[in-house]
Order: sequence, then C-alpha cells, then structure tokens
Amino acid sequence: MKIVIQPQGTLAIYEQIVNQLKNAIVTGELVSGEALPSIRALAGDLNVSVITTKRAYEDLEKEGLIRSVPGKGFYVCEYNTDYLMEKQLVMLEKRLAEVIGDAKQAGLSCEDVKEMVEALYNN
Amino acid sequence: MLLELKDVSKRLGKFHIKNISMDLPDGYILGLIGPNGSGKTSLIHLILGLYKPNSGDILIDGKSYADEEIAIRNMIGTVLLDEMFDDGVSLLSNGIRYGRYYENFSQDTFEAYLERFNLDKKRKYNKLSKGEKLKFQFAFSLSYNPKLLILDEPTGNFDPEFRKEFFQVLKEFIADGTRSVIVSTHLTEDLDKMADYILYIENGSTIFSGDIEKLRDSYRLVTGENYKINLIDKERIIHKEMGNYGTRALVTHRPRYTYDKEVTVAIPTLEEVMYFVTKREKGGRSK
Amino acid sequence: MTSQIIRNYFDGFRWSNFKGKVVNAAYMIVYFSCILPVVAGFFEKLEYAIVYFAIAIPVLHIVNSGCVHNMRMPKLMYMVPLSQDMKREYIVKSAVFRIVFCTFVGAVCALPIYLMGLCNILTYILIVYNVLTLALLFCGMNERYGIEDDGKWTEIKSTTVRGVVQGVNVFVTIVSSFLMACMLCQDVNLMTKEVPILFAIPAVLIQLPLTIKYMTYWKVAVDRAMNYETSYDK
Repeated sequence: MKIVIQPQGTLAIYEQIVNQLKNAIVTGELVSGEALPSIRALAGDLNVSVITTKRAYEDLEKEGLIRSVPGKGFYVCEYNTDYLMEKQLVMLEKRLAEVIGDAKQAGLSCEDVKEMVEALYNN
Repeated sequence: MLLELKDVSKRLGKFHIKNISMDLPDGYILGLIGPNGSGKTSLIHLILGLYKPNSGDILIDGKSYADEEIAIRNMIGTVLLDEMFDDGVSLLSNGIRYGRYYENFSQDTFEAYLERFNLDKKRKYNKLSKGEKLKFQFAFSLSYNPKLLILDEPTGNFDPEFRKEFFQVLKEFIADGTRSVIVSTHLTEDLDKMADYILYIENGSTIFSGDIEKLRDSYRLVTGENYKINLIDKERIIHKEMGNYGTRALVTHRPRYTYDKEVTVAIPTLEEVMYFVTKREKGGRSK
Repeated sequence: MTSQIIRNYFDGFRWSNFKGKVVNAAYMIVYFSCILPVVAGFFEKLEYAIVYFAIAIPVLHIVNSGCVHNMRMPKLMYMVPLSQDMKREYIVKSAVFRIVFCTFVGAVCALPIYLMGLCNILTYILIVYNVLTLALLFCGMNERYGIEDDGKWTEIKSTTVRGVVQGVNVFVTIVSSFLMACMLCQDVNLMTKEVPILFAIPAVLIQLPLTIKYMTYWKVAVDRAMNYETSYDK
C-alpha cells in the first residue's frame, strides 16, 4: 500500500491519509480483516505528527471502515464494496461538477472539456 | 497525562503569564510557540518548578512539586540556553558529576549519546561551541532516561545536519508512547511535521492551546482579490495583507464553510499563523 | 558534595561574573584609597610593602569573592533531584567555606607581619578578626534581591536593618583600615600599644554587636537561597 502526502495541498494531511486508505479499501488493496500499521508506525513512515495519523484513523473508524481492537491495533472492517463504490462515485461526481462549472465560466465547450479529459486520462 | 497546566498565572515584574491551561498526554510532542519575549522561557521555568505560580496548578505525571519534587526531577530532562556545566572539565566528568544525583543515570547511555552526537568525551566543556554545548546537555538529559524532555529554543544553534538528527532523536524518544517532549521555539518549520500539540502564547496569554489538527481546523489562509476577501465576516479576518497582486488574509475557519470560488483557500503553516496573529496584535496595540 | 562546593568556589572567578558589580567596585576604590598613604612610602621600606600586601590581598580576595559568589546554588543544582536537606546543606556549606577560606587567606597573609615582629599577637588577631568581619559581610550571606511579584524591589522584613548594619560595618572597616594606614605612614611601629587599642575600639565596640545582629538573618538568607526564584534575576 502506498500513501503519498503532499505538504502544500489544500487538503489537510489527515484527509489525504483518509482518502488514500479509502481508495485502498475500494480497490481491494486492503481486504477486510487486514491489520493496518499502528498509528505511531504510520506517523513515522509518513513523517507526520502522531496526532495526524491518529485523527485519520479516528475518522475512518467513525465511518465504519476500520475498527480498533484495544491493545492490538486497527483492522479493516467487513464492508459492502458496492456501497463504498457508490459513495466514491457521488464524491467524484461532485468534484467533476465543480470542474465543469469552472470550465463553463472559462468559456469552454463540452467538446473542449471532453478533449481535455481524454488527453489527461490517457496520459 | 505527563503535563497538566491548570489555569497557571504568574506575575513577573510588569510581565504577566495569564491563565495558561494545557494537557499533554504520554507519547506526544508539544510545541511551545510564540514570538521572542512572549513568555516561553518563563513558562518553561514554571514547568521546571524554578518559579512557583501565583495561582493554578502544575502537575508532572500527576505529581506536584510541593509533594514529590525529587520524583519529578528524576523524570525531567532539560536543554536550556544557559551554560550550566563546569568549565575546564571534560564532558565525561561533567556527566558523572551531575549524573550521580539521578536515580536512573547510566554512564553507558551517556557515552553512547556523546558518540552519536559526535562529541568527544575527553573534550573540555568550555571548548565546545554553543551548538555543541546544547548537544552535550541533550546527551546528558537522555542519559538518565527521563519521561519528559523540556527543550528551550534548542534548534537555533544547531547546524542543519544535526537538526535532522535532533528531531529523529525526539521521534525515537516518544516512539513507545510513554514519554513526551516539550519544545519551545520561534522557528516553527520543524514543528509542522512533528508537533502533536501546540501551545501558542503571545504577551503571556494563550492564543491557542490544543492539538495541532484542531489548530489546522481553526484557521485558513485565503488569497485572492481584496473585494472577494471582504465578503468574509469582518470579525473572522484575523489580519489582512494587501499586495499588488492580491490580498492574503488569515481567517478563523468553521467546518463546512464554503469560500468564494475565486479565492484560494489553504491550510496555514504554524509560521503563517504566527505571522498574521502577531501582526494583528501589533496593529491592535497601536490603535 | 564538599568537593563540588570547593570546585564551584574557584570556578566562580570568571570575568563574566564580574560585570556590573558597581557596589563592590566602589568599595574597592574607597578602601584602597584609604591605604594609599602606605603606597606613598611603598618603596622606602620593605616592611611597608609587606604590611600593605598582608592587608590588601585578603581584602582584594574577599571583595572579588563577594562579586562572584552569592548565597545560592548554581542553576543546574536547582534542577537535579535534591532533597530540601541536601539543598540546605549545599548552601550552608558553601557559605561557611567562603567565610573560612577568606579568613584563612587573611590569617596566612598577615602571618609574616607577626613573624617578622612588626606587630604583636593582639594586633595580629585583630587583623584576622577584621578580615573575618569583612568575609561575613561580603561573601557570607551576600544574597541577591530578585524582583518580586508586584514589580518592586524585594523588601524582606530585615532588609532595612541589614542595610544599616552592613553600611555601618563597612564604614567601621574603612575607618580602621584608614587609621592603620595613617599609623604606618607616620612610621609608628605597629608594636606599640596604641595601635591595637585604636583597632579594638571601633572593631569590638561597634562592629561586633552589629555583626552579630547581621548574622541573625542567616536563616532567612538560607531559606531564600533554597528557591531559584528568590535567588536569580528574572
């Protein structure tokens, strides 16, 4: 599993961790029952504060994606992949809508946007 | 909790430390930040039990200086700017001289840290540079296995290479989750990546006290055209800086607040928070 | 602990510790001006030189010692784990060592005057007594006054009394030294009976009770020295 942190991002570091772990779960990279690295180990590997990874795990736990076993650590929950996928799609749609809004303001046609998307997708 | 500050106040001549509260659990790093003269060193003197607060309580691992001073001192390691060790005496002898007062002092550990920090144990203390003296103090403090490390402005005199090493050591120190670090500094760059808790004081008063994620949740750095930034509630703008190509402002953030599309919103670094808050304080005072 | 106390005593004589010691410097100037008449005749007779050094060196030592030592521990010692008893022991031992050592230096330096027959035993004892008094005043419980909470200079109950006692004592010391210097200048043999008496009157009658009174604040000074806050500038 790979987690990349962009320090200058507009997304908070803990959100970046949350998103990437979510993706790993959706894509099946992390399977249910699998143990996650400990809060402290992950913080060390990513070179971020302990409290940041702690918050990321807490958020994932709140969403029911992972669960903590006292004294042992965090594990990926049994989950419904379809439901998760659905959620991811909704989020993507929302972000795309924003981009399209911006594109309209810049005076781009639907064709222009499609072209741009294709070029970026195949890149 | 390794450190509990409960509403601590202290009058120091004309300067006042006012109602500072902070909890630091085991296994974390607390960054004590603020501009020069904001009271960081005085607060550290209070935490070290060198000053007694006029009101409020200071507990170290649940113990108070009044009742268990020796137990507390055995578990506190310090790196201060003062040059407190004996001149004309080797580093090794200095360590043994003062180490023998500590319950858990280990000469082996001490020598191992000297070696790790590239300090020759036979060198005389007064022959060290400023940065090396701090390194020595650091090695000495680690030699008796403290639970709480307190470091006052340590990094200013370190070369960049040791600075990395220094933060590595701090991370190792807290790695097992039983020990904590308090580090005061006005250079906050390193803290962005390391600190778990932040106590930000200015003029002896708390600006922020809590975990760093909460701090990041509380502020946003907004860049864009001035009239767009003016759309944000006035009382939420901490300080605004107008430049030729746009305006930058630090604002207090609310969850799920949506900003105007044409402004760039970023999570500020500690340095940026400090910069804008200090500007506001100065502006406020001159009015 | 004793070895550390002795070490700290000699470590204290560092240039950085001498900065800003106006009162001590002023005292030195006044004192040595009083002995100046002796210096005038310095090269005429070897005896003058010996007497001069016998008296000047201990005083120089005491005043310098008073500059660099206060009734307090080194900062580091407030941070190492020490019980209250150990702190008290360290402070008291350091102060006693300073007084004893300064007096010892005085006694050794004045010994040649006595051995060479320049003064009788009573004068010798009085010279040493004088040194002891100075040692008590300048480096016994020479504590610092920190800024207290309300921003004013500390006024512990005894400060005023102590100020007066110290002032009078210093004055007496200067006068007696001056008297001696004048004697020497006029080539009066120190063996004569008048000198010890001239010494003894101010010394014993005025100095002694005042010094005893001064020493009653010893405990207050030790208590203050046990806290970092009341011992160091903020």
